[in-house]
Amino acid sequence: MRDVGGLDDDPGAQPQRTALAWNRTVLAVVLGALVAALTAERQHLPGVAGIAGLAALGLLLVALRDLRTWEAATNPWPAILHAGIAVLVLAALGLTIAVDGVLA
Amino acid sequence: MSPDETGEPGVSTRARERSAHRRPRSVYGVGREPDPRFSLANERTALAWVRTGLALVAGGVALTTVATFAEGGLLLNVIAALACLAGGGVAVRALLGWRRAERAMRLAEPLPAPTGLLVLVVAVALVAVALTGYVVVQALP
Repeated sequence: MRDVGGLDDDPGAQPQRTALAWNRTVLAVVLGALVAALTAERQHLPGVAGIAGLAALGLLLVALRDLRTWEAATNPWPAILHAGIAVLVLAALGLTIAVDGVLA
Repeated sequence: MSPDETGEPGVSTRARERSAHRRPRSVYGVGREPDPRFSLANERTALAWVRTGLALVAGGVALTTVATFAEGGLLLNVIAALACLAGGGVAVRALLGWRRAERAMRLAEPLPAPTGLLVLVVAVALVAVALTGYVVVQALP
């Protein structure tokens, strides 16, 4: 748990809730990437499937590194940015699968 | 942690030195440190938006699977593509919203209005209407 000055007695449990929010987000993003990989595999798009699978692993590693190094309430931006980029990458992969379905 | 001479509660000298190089400068280069509870709340809000965008993308990806074996797969794939685009837009909204809110808190300005919420609700409603229309059309003889 990160050290947040002055919040030791916080009844709102803000640092803990934020840590839980990060856990939910990392889990959701990695699972989303795996679903995209499996879907692409089913639709015979091995390229997209490979990228999605690697994205899942890469995103997990980046997120774990972010969460270890960033300090509470002082600089969360790199981690938030990485999470946003992860969703954009998955959106691009989903779009590729959908467009491939339209063109096929 | 005790307040320092400038009166900022809960921020040690060491933490302030570490935070002198925080990015983005457009956020951390202005104003003063807000209550950390508000920053944490802003962070959780941004993460909730990110998860919402992810849910839209995941829904779109799931629709592509349905499109492979259902009638009218073309329309489903189009809806799936739109859902993925909407999910990406929501993720961008998460990043921009976090920056705007953090800047507003640092400058003691009012928080920006949650217009993104209205856009999200309209987008989800449109997807629901489109899918309902698809189901109704398919159910007709």
